[in-house]
Amino acid sequence: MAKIRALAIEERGNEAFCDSPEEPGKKVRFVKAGGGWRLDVGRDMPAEAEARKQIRQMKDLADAVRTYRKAIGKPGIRPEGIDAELGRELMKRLKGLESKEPHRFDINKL
Amino acid sequence: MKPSAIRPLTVASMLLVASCAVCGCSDAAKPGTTFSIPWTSPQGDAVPGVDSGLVLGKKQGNAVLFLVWTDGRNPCTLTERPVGSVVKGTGELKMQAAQPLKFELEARDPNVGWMTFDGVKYDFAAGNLFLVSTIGPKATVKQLKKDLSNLKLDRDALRAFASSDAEISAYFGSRKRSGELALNGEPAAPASPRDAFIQFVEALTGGDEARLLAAVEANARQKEMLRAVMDFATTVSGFRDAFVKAYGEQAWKDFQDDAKAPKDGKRQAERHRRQGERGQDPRPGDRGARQRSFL
Repeated sequence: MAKIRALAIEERGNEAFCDSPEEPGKKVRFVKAGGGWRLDVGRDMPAEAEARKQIRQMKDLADAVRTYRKAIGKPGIRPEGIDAELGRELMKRLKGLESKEPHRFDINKL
Repeated sequence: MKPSAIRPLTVASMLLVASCAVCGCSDAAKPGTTFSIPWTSPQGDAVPGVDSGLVLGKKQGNAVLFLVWTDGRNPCTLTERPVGSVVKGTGELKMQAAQPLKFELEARDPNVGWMTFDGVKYDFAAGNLFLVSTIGPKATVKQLKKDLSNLKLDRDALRAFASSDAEISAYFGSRKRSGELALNGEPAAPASPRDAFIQFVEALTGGDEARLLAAVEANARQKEMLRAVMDFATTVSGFRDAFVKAYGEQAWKDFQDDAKAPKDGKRQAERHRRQGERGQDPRPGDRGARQRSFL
């Protein structure tokens, strides 16, 4: 947030620009709208097909993280076990790949 | 209070005092009872949920079985159906501008049980304190794991607890801003480009959809994408908070550190890397760098 507060922002009529704090050389665009200013996110969004895919993936991954959150702090469940099981679940959902390693715990039995 | 009674718990503002004699609202909770405690602040409703609000809950002996902490003082109902030592119940919380929020409860003790809000289940393993914002067009629920054993259940203590707890204050502060924007129609755009950028980042990481969408110029598809990003960000944030609370900061650092991945995970990651060098599709492992990058 400190980076954003320190950014030089140049206004040009109904537009404004600043350097991206995370990606050097890239510009962030703002537009006047709704009686104020808004960040133009459309420039950084993928095309529709790719956007749909990414939305599905993010929902899927969020679902996996929520599922494994319930293992946290359960008796006998160590952080490395959650690390391992969540990792393999993410890999399964992202790539459809399943590990043959023995499970550290069964999330469905917690 | 008879367990099977349906209790109109509160009404707001001036009706509050009159209703309490009927519904059992009280200044403080007695052991073994279901209770609802509304409060207001001499300073007014600066932040509903903190300066004013209502807590619905049940004590089991001297322990708090659960607390539903809301930012409204609207009427709500709770119907209890105890089965042996298990408390079961259903109820509704009235919303300010939406259909009532339905909830269900089944609990054996403060650590074993669950609640659902509009069908979404929350296991007590992740906490038995539920913050429910009734402001805005849609209820929002946040589950917290807090040590409630020393919490005094009276109006002053609840208000002081909310004021001093960073998570409770932040949540209701954020919901107030979001709810006001949503209830007032089209959210206003931030006053400057910098304000838009700051609001965008704050809302994205804080899970505040109304503020997020007010800060961006986006079409419907792009907004859907932003909602997914926000949901993922807040989910991971909640996971991190719970992880740190259970295992400590160092464990979270280890969790993120590839060099400290579980042994089998390290081997898998190494195999993953070698296969990548050979142009092969990586095999799944316990964990690899690609998975880690998401958290």
